[in-house]
Amino acid sequence: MTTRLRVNSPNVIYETIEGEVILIDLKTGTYYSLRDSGAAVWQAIEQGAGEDGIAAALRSRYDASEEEIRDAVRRLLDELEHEGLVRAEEGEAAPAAPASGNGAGRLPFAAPVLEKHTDMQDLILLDPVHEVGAQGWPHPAPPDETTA
Amino acid sequence: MTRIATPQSPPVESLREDFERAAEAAGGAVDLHLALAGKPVRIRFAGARTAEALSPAFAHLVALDGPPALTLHVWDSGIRGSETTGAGASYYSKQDGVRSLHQPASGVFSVLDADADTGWFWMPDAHGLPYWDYTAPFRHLLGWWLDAQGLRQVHGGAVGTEEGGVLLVGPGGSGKSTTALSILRDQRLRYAGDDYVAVGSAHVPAVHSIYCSGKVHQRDLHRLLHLEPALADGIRPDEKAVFYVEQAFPGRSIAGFPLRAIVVPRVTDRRAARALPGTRAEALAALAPSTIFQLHPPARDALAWMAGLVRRVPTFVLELGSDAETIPAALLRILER
Repeated sequence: MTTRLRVNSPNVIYETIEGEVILIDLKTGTYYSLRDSGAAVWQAIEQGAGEDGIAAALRSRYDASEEEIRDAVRRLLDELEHEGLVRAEEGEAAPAAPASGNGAGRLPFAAPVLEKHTDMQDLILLDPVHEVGAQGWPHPAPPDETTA
Repeated sequence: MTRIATPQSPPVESLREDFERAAEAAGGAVDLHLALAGKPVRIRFAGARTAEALSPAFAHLVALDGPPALTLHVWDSGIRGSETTGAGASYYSKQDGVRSLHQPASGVFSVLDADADTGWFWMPDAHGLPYWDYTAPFRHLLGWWLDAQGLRQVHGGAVGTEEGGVLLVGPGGSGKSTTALSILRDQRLRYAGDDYVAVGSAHVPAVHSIYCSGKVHQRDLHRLLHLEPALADGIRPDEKAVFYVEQAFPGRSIAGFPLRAIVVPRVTDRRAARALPGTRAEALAALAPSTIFQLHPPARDALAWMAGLVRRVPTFVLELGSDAETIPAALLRILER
């Protein structure tokens, strides 16, 4: 049994477009982006990889020492957990597929950066929406009643 | 209807009775027939005073009457001077196909019975809504209904020609409104909205105008001097200046067009505006969060839908300069590509 990482669904939604991941936390209004090595880390998380698998996927793509990649991955995973975007859980971690590269050898490595945008938070604070069930406020709607 | 303490939907029959009573007291129902996203929509106002307050935003979509695909009933209780802040928690529920939203801060109650193609909109005072509501009336009702038609309401402006146009995306303050309103000085371009429009999901997506209202922050008025005559009596203290394009610039609004590009305006210290190729991720980040968090409730599938839209059309960054007169030409260059 090892620790694997899971996207914190359903509060966190994300899309990858042209290699960049846009993530939105529906509870807080914060949104984020991950590029390059950060997008590769996210791709491995989506596949159910654990920390070791994520680091291995990056080593197959980027030209950097094992230690440098491991430290950078650890820092990003800590940040993703701190922001509530992923959660660790016990379970068999899947081996991450090698991160897709450009086929021209390993790329120079730059530590992943989680870009954070908080300009939507005011909207959530000023005008929050409470989804309520058949009994009315303050009883929340069960998950299957909320808009998917 | 003044004592709405819970978000539970009142029975539709009681809404109908309330509306009929209000209409009778106000001298009868006033019907407004629209073609919205090409579909016939009827808005039944309880009395001329209510219609007068909330019709102007739809002046460009007025159509001949016919069997409606959606009927909205709109009334108030004439509670003059009710103090509404417009901002605050909202309560949403969906039961048996009926969606309800109660916004206590403005007192507004919206109900859509999608199976019956019928909506209900009650407010304390039709002339007491905050400016962001009376310039974009029934936004949530129309958003839910558009959803059911396979369309999406997005947070963005749109301008163009019959042949095609652009969607202007970005959070408040990014230059969307300035860009959209700047085109009114150039006869070659027409206006589909500065804040909310509908977008279809066809292979070549179409933009559909919902509102012809325009809003401009007073600090930006000096950049849009061509709007001054339209704003002569439309500026209220502490509010954005509001006007209606169909009234102030007849023939310059447009019901919709094929979407040719997504444009992310960006304020710069340049003089002249210029368009540069943008990334799809940048366009998605400008479009999706502000759209999702203005929907009630935030729709979890909206991000994937918008990513699909962004993948289908080119994206540009529009660098805005100090000279707003140069914006229309920069937009036309995008449309000519």
